[in-house]
Amino acid sequence: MIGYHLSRTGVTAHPFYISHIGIGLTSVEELCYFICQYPALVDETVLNQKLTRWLAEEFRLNAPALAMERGIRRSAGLEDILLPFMRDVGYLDAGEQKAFRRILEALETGGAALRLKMKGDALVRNRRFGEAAAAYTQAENAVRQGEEKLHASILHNKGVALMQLLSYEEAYRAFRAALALEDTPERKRVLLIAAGIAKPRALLLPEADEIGADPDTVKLVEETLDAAAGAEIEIPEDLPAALESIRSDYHREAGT
Amino acid sequence: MNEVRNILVGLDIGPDRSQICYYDRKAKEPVSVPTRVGTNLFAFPTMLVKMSGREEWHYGFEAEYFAARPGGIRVPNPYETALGTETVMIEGAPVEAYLPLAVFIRESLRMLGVPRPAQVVSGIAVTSEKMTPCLAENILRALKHLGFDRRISIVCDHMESFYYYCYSLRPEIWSKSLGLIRFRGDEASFTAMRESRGTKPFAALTSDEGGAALPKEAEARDRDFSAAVEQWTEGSAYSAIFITGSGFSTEWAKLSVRTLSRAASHVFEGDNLFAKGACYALLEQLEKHAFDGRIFLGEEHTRFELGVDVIEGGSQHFLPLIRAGRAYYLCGTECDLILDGRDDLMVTVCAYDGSRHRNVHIPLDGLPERPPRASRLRVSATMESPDTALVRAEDLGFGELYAATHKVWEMRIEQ
Repeated sequence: MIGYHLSRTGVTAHPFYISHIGIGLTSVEELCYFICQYPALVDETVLNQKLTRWLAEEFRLNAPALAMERGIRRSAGLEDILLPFMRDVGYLDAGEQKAFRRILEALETGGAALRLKMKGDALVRNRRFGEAAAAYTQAENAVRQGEEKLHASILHNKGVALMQLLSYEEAYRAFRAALALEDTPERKRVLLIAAGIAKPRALLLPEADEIGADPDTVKLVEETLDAAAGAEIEIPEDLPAALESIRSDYHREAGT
Repeated sequence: MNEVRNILVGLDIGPDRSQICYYDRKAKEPVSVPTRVGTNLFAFPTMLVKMSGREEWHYGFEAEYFAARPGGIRVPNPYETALGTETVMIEGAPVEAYLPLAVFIRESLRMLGVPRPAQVVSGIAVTSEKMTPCLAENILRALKHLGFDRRISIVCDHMESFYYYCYSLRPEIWSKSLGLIRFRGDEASFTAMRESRGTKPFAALTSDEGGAALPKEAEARDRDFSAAVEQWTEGSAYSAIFITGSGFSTEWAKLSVRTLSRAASHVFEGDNLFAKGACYALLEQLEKHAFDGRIFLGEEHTRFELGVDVIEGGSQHFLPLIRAGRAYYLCGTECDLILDGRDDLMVTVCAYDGSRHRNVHIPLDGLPERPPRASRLRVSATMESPDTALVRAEDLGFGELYAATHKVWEMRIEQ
């Protein structure tokens, strides 16, 4: 609903920490936003007594907190815990509730592999690439027969996460495995880019021949790699600080 | 006193004299607290005395007594101090302008005979003949200092108290125009209060109809006052006229009383109507809300409403930030809005009767692009004058998810 949502509960000085993405939430609206954007990350590290106490003490949402706690204690599904909470705090209108219910249903019934993939995707969006890669690996192990397309998608996303972690060889292997499960021009393009980064450039064309990439795709890949190679990076004035920032970002994103 | 808890207290504070009353829930009316039990003396001096070297304070008649005794230090007049913002010196130490008033109020509340008034008083209203932004601010600070929450504290001038007093009485009192005659020694002034019923809500408006300087000699005084009353009330029908202040007496006003009786169906005389009006203001604003179809529009009162259409619980409603019918310096509120698909602020303005409705667009240039429902905007509105509102919006980001820029946008909106 386009407009201005009134915040009745305000902001607290005592955040609720979400370990998956390493941030503290300071309002009910942020909590609801997090739940809606990343339902796959709403697990026992989020839904617990700490959360219900936070809601009751910081925002005086005693009744919704109590209802949530009851749901957690009896191990109710996400739908039975989150939807009533969203309704109680007035975050979603009727149409939005319906749409969110469908997402939760897909999460609950879609199987462990899908759930873990969605978790990985949510972590990638929050630049937690190390944890995302781990989630994708768990998702791979949970794939069932007949879920080849899903498996390919998991491998592709894992490859993306690994690229961000500068693990090019591993990323290449993930893309390769994805292509083996689902042969598409897009998967070929991505694989060749990874190959161009992970391996000597001279091996690119033989690789392209091996996987049957069409000339247009190869040309596009070569242009992409040439552009990346030719790109100039501005050296920051405060180089030590910039390097430190890169280092800490890397460790945060890698989960190390 | 008949009340021990949930007490509504009205205080009329003036430069020379003050009064206190409380609302008697059994009698269903405000009752003035006498300065001495068994008397009809309600007014006490606005005076505060501190005993040297001790935290011992005296107010009113007590203060007059101790001021004349060794060790009694007369504190600068609490009312006059509260008219400004300058600190005052008490025993060589500077204190903020509101503090003597806070102490004076605290000591005055002893007249109620209840321990820990902040715990048993559920509403406190302070009225004064002329209310200024500075005085109002100092009164509210004084009340806060004494532990009274802002939500149960009311400040109003005498005319607004008069409004609440009159319209809390039985309907035949306010069925037509109302008159207020104020005596200050040999000077008398007349203010009329009329209800404009062509709008919804009905607007109670005041107009100063003039004054008269009266001779001291009884017969001449009576004659001149009678003539003044005739002039003031000519052309209007009054259901009631109230006379307050010192300088009036039925001993000399024989002709005047007849003139008054012809001019109005009811004539009242008394000095405690403003304190009682303050009590009635509390009753109305905090509890009864029976004046919904009526609004008081004094000179300093806003005549328009300003707000935002907000979404809450899935449905839209109007959230007023400025309400009509309040002294402009007491208007102002803030709220947090979560933006959903909007990168601007649209404010709605309309007259108190709902007419002249218009939208005012406030662009939020420089607001970072963020997903829907991931921006918190703190919006506040205050009044710079009865006709000019200042709307302010500040970007608070969205917690640690999206950093705040704290960029501020402001817009002045005229009625």
